[in-house]
Amino acid sequence: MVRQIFWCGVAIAICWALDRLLQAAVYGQWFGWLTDYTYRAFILVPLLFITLAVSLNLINGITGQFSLGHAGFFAVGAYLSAGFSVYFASGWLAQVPPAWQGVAQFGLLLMAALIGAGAAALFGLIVGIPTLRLRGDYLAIATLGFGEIVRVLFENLDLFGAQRGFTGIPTWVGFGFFWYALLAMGCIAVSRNLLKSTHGLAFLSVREDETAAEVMGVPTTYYKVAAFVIGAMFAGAAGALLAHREGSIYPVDFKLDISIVVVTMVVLGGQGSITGSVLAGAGLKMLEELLRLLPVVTLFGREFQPSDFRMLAFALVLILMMIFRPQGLLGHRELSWATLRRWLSRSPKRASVPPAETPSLSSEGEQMRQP
Amino acid sequence: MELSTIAQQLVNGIQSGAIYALIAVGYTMVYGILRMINFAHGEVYMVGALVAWLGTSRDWYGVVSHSSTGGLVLLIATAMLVCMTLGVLIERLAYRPLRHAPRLIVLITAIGMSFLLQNLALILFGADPKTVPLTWRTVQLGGISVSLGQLVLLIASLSFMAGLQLLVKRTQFGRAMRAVSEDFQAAALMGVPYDRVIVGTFAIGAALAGAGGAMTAIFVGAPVTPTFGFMPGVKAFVSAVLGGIGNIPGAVLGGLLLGVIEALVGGHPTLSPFRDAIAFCLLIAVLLFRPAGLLGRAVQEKV
Amino acid sequence: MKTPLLQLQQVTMRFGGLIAVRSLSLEVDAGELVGLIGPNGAGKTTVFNVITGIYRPTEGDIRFQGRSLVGLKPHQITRLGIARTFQNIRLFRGLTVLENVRIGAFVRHRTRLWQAALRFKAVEKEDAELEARARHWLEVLELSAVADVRASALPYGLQRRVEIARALATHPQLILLDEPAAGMNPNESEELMHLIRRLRDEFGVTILLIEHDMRVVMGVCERVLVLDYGELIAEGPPEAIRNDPRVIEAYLGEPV
Repeated sequence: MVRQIFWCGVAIAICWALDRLLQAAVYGQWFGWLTDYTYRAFILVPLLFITLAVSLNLINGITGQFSLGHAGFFAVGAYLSAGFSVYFASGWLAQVPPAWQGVAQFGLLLMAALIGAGAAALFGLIVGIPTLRLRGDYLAIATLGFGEIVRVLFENLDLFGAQRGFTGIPTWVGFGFFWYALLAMGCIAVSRNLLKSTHGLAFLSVREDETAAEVMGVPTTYYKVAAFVIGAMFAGAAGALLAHREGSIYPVDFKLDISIVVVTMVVLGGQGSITGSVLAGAGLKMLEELLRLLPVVTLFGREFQPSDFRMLAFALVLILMMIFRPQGLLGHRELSWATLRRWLSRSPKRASVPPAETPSLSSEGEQMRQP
Repeated sequence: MELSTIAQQLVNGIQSGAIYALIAVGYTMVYGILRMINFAHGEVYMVGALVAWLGTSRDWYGVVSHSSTGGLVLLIATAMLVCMTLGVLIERLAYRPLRHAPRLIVLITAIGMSFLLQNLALILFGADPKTVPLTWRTVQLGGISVSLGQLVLLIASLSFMAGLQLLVKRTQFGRAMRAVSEDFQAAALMGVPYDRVIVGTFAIGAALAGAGGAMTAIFVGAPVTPTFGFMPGVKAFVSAVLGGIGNIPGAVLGGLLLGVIEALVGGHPTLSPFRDAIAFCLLIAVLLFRPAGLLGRAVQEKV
Repeated sequence: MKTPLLQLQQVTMRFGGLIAVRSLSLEVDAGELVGLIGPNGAGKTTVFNVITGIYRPTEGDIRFQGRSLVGLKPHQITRLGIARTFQNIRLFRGLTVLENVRIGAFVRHRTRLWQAALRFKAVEKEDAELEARARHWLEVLELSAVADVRASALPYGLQRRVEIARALATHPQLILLDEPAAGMNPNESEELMHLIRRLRDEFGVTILLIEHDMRVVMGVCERVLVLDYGELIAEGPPEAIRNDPRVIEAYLGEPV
């Protein structure tokens, strides 16, 4: 227990210090390139997507339950936490004496984030339960359906602004880095802790062969649902942070595209690899921003921003990756100092590296039919 | 709801259900043979609609006359041909290299293919809705108004499906197809050219989806956008599951059923915004309570 | 009279119109080494699937140490002390040998998932314990050298042995081996017979095994059960079974 508190403290201190430093740098215009815009695009958004990718990796990569509904969890967290802040917390805050405003805001934001995470986790439970029966492609369609139902719901609920978007959310996150980084670190730490323990092997065994896992004494249902709940929780918290930084959210922010982008990140990084998800999550988002720097092109008589091609590129990456390197960039491996050193020195240690891995994404090792 | 409204919704439902059915048979045939969900199938339908729009929005040296029956038949046939080519290309380029890959890998590829086609359409034709410049006379049948286009569409779809049924039941190719979907290995051992059967299945499915897309654009006048095919595609998949995946009459039944249910719920003023959610609720319910679908057979996993 | 370790009472398993197991009753006592044989399609693997909870029997009762197993999930049955291997090896192919066996040992975990998420001391301690137990079984089965090799990269015979190690790591009282000698050469099956005897004698595990290789069955089993068309047609010591006319008939078809 002491150790956990210590590391939490360290993480908070680091994030806080970096937050202050960045804030000073952005507002003080220390560097020409570090503006409000680039800070958001190259630091905050990548951090958000790291959280989304790492949390989806827990469901898709580690447990092998192919979910296409991550945007749904993201949306539930964003909308419900925002609803809490707008309809309840703002009123409470008005009664707090000015001297205590800062502390109250902090507390209420934490509460909103927990509500977002909790609500998303609840939805994760609801989605997780059908997975007891569904496998592979059916699960993908069902989760896709879930994500769409959530979006359609928020698009039609006047309470949440319907299609006009939900505006007037208190922006308690403030500058952002502190909370965004803390969440991403928390998500990575939990994933890593799980994967390191024997419980993590239980998740992996579900991915490898569900029937065998069950027969070896792994309560597969429990682990499948747990993966959904934990993954959804972090996505929900990410949604809460987004809502409380931007101040307004729109149904289009949670379209299926988001789920597909996050799936692409997990696949690109290597399903099951946490560091892979981190790299791909941050990398793809930064790449997307870099595309914006390219000049406008004219094609078929119309003008295009190069970033208009990003979804096309994601789709292509997804297809080519599956055909030529289905295990992703990192495969099931994690990138660590040891692997880095091994790559750099190219020592004869390479010989002792386990043989090339075969992708084993499906729970049953099922294949398309073949003669 | 009044009785006449219900009847009216019923007619609309059968019309959209017929389209779902046309797409769904493609899903179901491919699933029957390869055990994969061809996610890009809805986009093939979109391409069919795009071809119809391209054909009617320009003069094409008078070849496609806007109003002549021959011109429209030619247009639909072109859409089918284009989509057939597209279907075969998708199979060749994306799915064939993965014939031996785990199913999830194929699924991810199919999703990628779906998004690729959507975004290609977006880049080539833009996001603005495109409507085929044709209008159809409406006739009154005992208080229900039906456009002539709807009628033609319904008759054409039904004949397409009847044709498919004949093809599957009566021809050499149909026999081969059924053999492959029954037992892939045995069929291959018996000398059934499974590669050709797979290509043929993709071609037929894509052609039907293309016809569906073209007819929706021409006869219903639905505005075509890059995401035109996505929802109908997903819903057609739901129809296929509803009827029992792998089962062609099941897919037709599922499509019609889904269309009617949607239209009835969509006609209700407070429920209409949630129209798109019905299919998914139905899907989850079917998968939980009757995973083999209405007409399907239950298969037990071998351990 | 003491209760048998495993007891099947009038168990019937029906798949649609097909009756795979018909009103089967059998008993296995603690410490026994029993063979289950029969022609292809006799329902042997189905019996294993029914015992381990993969199928729920259509009729009848299964008792383990006097406790009914019907309706329990496979993982609960494993927890009670029954482990198995599969006819068509089902290792976790993407994981290493050690990881495979650690998953077997996981049955005995006590820590909670949330504790693992926060990496409590108890989890670390337990991980070390479980790993030690897994390594112990690797040692016993002479697999230590390949501990860090991906399971799918192992040759067939070793994969079978890893499956046995994984099953043993669940700390079973009864282990069900489904054709452990399939695909093995005479040398390997000789080793296997030695191993099976050792498991029983040294570790006190009761063994029920399905096998087609009669040399293994006759060489190692003390009692043999013969299944044909889902029914028990003979039971007894190997020598008696070898000469039982019903058994010969089942294997060779109608008598001439």
